[in-house]
Amino acid sequence: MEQLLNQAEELINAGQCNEAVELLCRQGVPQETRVFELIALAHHKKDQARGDVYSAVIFAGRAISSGSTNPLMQQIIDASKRQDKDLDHSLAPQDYILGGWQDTRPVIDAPLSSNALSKLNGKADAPKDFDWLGKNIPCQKACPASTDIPGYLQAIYEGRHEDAYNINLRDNVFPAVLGRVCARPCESECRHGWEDLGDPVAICFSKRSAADFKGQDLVVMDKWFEDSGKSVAVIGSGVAGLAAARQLALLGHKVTVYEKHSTPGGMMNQGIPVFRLPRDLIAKEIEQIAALGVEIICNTEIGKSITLSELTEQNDAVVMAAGTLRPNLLDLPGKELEGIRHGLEFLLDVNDNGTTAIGDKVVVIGGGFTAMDCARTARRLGATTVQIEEEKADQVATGSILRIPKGNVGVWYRRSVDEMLVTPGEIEELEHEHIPLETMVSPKAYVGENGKVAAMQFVRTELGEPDASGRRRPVEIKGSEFELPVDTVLLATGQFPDTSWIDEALKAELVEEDGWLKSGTAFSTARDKIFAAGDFATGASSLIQAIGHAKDAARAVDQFLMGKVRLKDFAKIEDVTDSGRIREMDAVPLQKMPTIDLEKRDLPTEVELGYDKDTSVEETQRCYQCHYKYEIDADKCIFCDWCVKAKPRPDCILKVKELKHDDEGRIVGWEIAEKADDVNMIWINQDDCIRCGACVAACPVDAISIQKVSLVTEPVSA
Amino acid sequence: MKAQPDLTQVEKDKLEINPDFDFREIAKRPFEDISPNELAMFKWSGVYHQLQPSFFMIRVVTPGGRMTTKQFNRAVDLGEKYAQDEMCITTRQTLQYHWIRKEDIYKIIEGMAEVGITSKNGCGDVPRNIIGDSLAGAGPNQIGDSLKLIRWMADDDEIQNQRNLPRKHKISVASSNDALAQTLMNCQGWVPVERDGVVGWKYHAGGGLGARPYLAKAIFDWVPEDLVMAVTRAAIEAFRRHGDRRHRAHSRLKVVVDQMGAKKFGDVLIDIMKEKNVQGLDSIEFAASAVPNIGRMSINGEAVIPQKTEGKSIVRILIPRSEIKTPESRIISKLADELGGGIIMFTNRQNIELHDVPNENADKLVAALHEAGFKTEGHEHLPDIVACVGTTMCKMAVSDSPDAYHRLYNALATDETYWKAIGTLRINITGCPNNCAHAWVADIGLRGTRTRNPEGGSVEGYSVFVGGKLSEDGKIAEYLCDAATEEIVPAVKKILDAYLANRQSDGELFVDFCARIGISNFQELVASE
Repeated sequence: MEQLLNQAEELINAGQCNEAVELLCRQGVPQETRVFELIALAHHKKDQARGDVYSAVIFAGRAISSGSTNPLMQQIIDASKRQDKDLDHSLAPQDYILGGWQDTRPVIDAPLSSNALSKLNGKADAPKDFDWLGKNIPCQKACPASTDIPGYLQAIYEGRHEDAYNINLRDNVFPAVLGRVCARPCESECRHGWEDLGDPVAICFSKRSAADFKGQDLVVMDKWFEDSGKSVAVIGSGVAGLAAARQLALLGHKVTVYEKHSTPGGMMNQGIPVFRLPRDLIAKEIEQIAALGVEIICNTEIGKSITLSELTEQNDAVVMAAGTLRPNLLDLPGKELEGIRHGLEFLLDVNDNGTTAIGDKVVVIGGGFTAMDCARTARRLGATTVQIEEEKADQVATGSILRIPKGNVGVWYRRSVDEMLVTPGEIEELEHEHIPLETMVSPKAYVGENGKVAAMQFVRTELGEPDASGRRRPVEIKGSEFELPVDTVLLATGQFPDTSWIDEALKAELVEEDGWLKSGTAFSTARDKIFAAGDFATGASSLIQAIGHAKDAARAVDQFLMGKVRLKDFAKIEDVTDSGRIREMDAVPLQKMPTIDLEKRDLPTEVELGYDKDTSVEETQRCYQCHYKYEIDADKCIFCDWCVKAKPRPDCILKVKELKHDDEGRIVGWEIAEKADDVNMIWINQDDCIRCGACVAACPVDAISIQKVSLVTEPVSA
Repeated sequence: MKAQPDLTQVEKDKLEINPDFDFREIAKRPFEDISPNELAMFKWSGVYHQLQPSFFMIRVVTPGGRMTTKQFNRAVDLGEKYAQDEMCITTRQTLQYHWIRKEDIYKIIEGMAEVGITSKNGCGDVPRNIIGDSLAGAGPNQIGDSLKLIRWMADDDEIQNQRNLPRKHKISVASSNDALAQTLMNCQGWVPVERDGVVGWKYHAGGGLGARPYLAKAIFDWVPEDLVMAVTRAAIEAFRRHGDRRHRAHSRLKVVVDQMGAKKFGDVLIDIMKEKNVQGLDSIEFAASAVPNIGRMSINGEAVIPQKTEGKSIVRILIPRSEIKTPESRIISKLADELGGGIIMFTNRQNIELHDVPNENADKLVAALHEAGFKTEGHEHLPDIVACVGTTMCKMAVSDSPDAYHRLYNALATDETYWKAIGTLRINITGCPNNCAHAWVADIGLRGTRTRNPEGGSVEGYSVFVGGKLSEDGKIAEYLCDAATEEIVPAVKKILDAYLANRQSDGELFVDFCARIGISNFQELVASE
């Protein structure tokens, strides 16, 4: 017994008070003085809440009545007594403004620094408001075009596919296109994909369903402003050029787009294969831009038909959105050999002509979007027809990849799969289409025979420290060189902006010696009237990044043209009473994208079939709807902790002693309260909130409000 | 397909975990091997895991609140041995123990079972202890035999084996049309009616407090006594069928009745009874009005009440903060045997009454009680404060209600002139919105809260509600103001002084004063400096 008592005392001294009491109770009903004393001491030391004080008093009392002479026992009892205070103020009802889900909040500045936003309702535009949007709607933040993803997913869930398309159209200009080929930076940020929460929502597939199930009419958006009388020339009709053009048209400017190719669309038409992106969709979404009055002039190469200087003279502003058409060719021994092509040129050839000459042994070098497209296109161009088993022959389409031998095309990449910049699911498709992927191999030299490439020399690599892109650098392993027989090499090794068309008068001002713009990724250049947008400024990126950059560029152009800021972003705050979600939606599994069978996979047939309407609803209900904000009114709250007991995640609701703010009023941290009296508020940590609504259901005094917070862009009223 | 609502975790637990635990096995099982879900299902046996992790609370079931001294003595013995020498009287007329070790749970349960007292259905989503009023079986105004009905219900297999209701279910059977039986705050409330010498019962349903209070509606004006059990069972069945199992905050029968309305709920009961082939349903009369009309409390501070049975009396003892320690319990029991009728009644204001005291012993008994330090004065007045355990032992609580009890008792109940001047006054202090101490229906109800302190931390206190009642058509107390615990004494005094200064006459009860001046005016009165 003595040993146990000592052990309990040690636990108490170590702060393990509950464990000490448990140990003391294990021996029998607490009945002895020393046991009473130690239980009293344990609770006295714990002292986190009134319950601890009470337990300490009870057992101190038991100790004394059983003969304890330990003075601490009486001290514990005496210390527990709290004095009454005089009432030196009037008795008033509690005063709160934010209230609960049934209350309507006034359009006023937020009264407390703990409030999530700077205003209680209406439109807010303080730094903390945008900070909230960025942290709380991570998909929208990740989208370079700031697409209102929860907004359109909710619309799809409610069966409003047309509305969903329009929300998309407003933000990302090419919903049907991006619904198929977007790089989906949003999905990797989706809360549903956080650890232990399952898979991200299939945002991109859902976006496609909005386009698939909307009506067939062209959607012509309402303009923000009347005609400005200003004219803008846009060079390049890729996604950046067209996105800038559309935004400028919506702002009321006269826009002319110049395209050197015979059709507009840039990378959409000339880079991405048809089996991933049907061409009629591109045409339709470009038509919607033209319908706003944007003139698109094709077969016109700036620098030849007309110079940039002339264009600048003739217009109030010029936007250079010429993309990245200068291939990065590997400077390896044997680079002059026949059979070595740049991937972009290869894709353009196939997209323009429906086919191109290709050998039997094709090596694609690279680990990005272009590499995937090159490989899957090349796989569909194989010359050799394999013997299909007779009974299956009828089912296999003429151009099917099943009629082409496996293994004629492979992708070779110098880093690991983790570093590849590809659309999610594409590596799986590669495997599905029998295209081997070899990673951790770096090309060293082309080996020729009779002026043609006959083999590729590689060296194996291992991953070193991260490089400037954040990806781990491949380091060659000495002595691991090997050769691979090839007859075609497709270099998907990147491309740069081609500035060679800029006339000499401007070149010195605009272009660095290495061919890149002096203005870097900025919208404006050394010339007031000349702007840059999309990949032409940023270097090769994704469609959505180019669109996002171009939209912002258009706002810079407008500000230049009109001499003032005419569009403003807000956090729009609206009261709601319910998110419409039930918790079971969180358990709905990710819906797979249906694809066509290998038998039918050929060059022109789209591989992905798209969700049917029901599946789109099923998938979109998975979205947590992060645009809903759950917030406790710190004054209405009675600190019962019931929401804390109901919370699904360890850190989504916190008992805080203090919130920490930066100079702009943004909440940047908190201190957890250890004792009940130190709790200054029960606070929903919205960054960690999964919008389950369990807190609202648990709150007995309806102190938790639900509001929808959306990023909106609106014309600044005169 | 859109996701369909699945069972909640509690509902799954109720289906998957047998609530009839073998507590001898639990005694041996390491605590860490008991799942939280099992721990929650202990409640079905009246066992609650206490705030303090090593201890449990056990609530027994005493239908109608009555115990013989033999049963009570056993309860006291067990309390002395396993519960740190103390028991508590609950607002549903029963006893509960605290500080029970996991290893001793079965000892209490088995020990009480030996004297015919169970803890089954002490807590959980089940029909709870059937209550009535403390005058049952004795009161001067009683009609019929409410204890008989209570016994029927307590012994009815169909009722007592309802182990998976949507939520807890509470039944009251009054011994007369008297607010004392708390008819309007029970899921089902029976009130006796006598017509031409025949006793039948008026039936109410849909009352319940909690965070969102509802008062019962009158469903049937007349139910013949032989159909009372059929109706009671049918109401439980209706609850089972229609209670919202998805939202626990809205799952009680009160919400079902509120949403259906009294008439439709009555129809549902009749239909269920028809399904069960219950005969004689034509004799049930639907309520002419859903608005109840419960008589005002018939008692008002008496220490001794003459029983209906000639020559016997009820002697009432005020139990401070509902806590009875072993030595006091033994005195009460001894006196109940020596001078009373061996019957102990627990009241819903957490006090004790000794029934069947021969009239000639009554004064002697009162004197003996006083000599032992008990108080018999102050019932239904300021000293008769109801309080839950609050943050002392309950996981749900916000405020330390016993502390507020002692502050108010020590400061105000000691001034007999003051509280006698006030007259009838029920102060109820509940530590959280669950309202176990019935703040919603008190003259002054204090509900625990904390208030954010802009300077840092928070301050424990109470939201003060006034003017609640369970008589006539009932009234949920209205929100008056907030007050910090350390200011609760001057705050309540200010409220009472405002009443004393502004009441129309000495006879205007606090509850009537509240109704007359209205909450806004009352707020203004207490807001003045």
